[in-house]
Amino acid sequence: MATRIIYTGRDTNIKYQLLDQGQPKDLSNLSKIDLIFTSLVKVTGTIGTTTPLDFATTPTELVLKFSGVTIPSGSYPSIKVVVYDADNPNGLIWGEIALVVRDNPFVVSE
Amino acid sequence: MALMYADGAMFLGNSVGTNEQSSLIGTTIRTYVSAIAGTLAVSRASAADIQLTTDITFLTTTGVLSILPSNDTVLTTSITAATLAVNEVASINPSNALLTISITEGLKESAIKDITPTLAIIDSTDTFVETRTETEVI
Repeated sequence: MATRIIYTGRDTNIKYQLLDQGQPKDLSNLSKIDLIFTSLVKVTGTIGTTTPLDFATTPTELVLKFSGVTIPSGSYPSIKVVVYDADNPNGLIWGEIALVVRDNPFVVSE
Repeated sequence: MALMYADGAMFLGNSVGTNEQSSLIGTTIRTYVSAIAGTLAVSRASAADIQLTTDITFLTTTGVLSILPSNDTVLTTSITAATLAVNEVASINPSNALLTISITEGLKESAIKDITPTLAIIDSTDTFVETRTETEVI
């Protein structure tokens, strides 16, 4: 899987599908999705919200919208994608994605 | 007609305009035959944090119960069958799960596919055009 680059404070347009035996799954019944970067850094998206994770606009897509999230810059080659629903209240690790987080290349000083 | 219930013997038909009906065990008097349809057949309720804002329509012509979601509505609760009563066929109960649609149920091989759109690549490389030399053949 390709490693995607995101910049802190900038919009992102990164999309994933969660597959089971190659078929995309409908994410409508998920209550929450976690992206676990490290043991101390994670991003959580809940049902009904579209940031920082949007899995409601298109039911088969998980879209990363990280413009409002600050993640320490660095390389994260194995971010765990954890899904929660009624059957798995403690979260089921669906798989991994890879991201590189870089600092905002231009920050306007006030 | 979606649901019929009768008080009496199993009936096969009835004479129009009378209360008589023929059954497997003979002729009896129809005491009550009703079809649950119309606006009283289905009701909907909402909780403070779980709102079913969609419409539930009962198509009396076909006897089909339809739940029509709108674009911004997700039915996150469950649908449970209730005790069959005169005016209660089914209800929506957010606390009990009978119908569960889970992506994790029966999961066999999970994977993640990157479907990020390919961004346009800005290529600043100059294009080199080779001069073509025409050769005249005498």
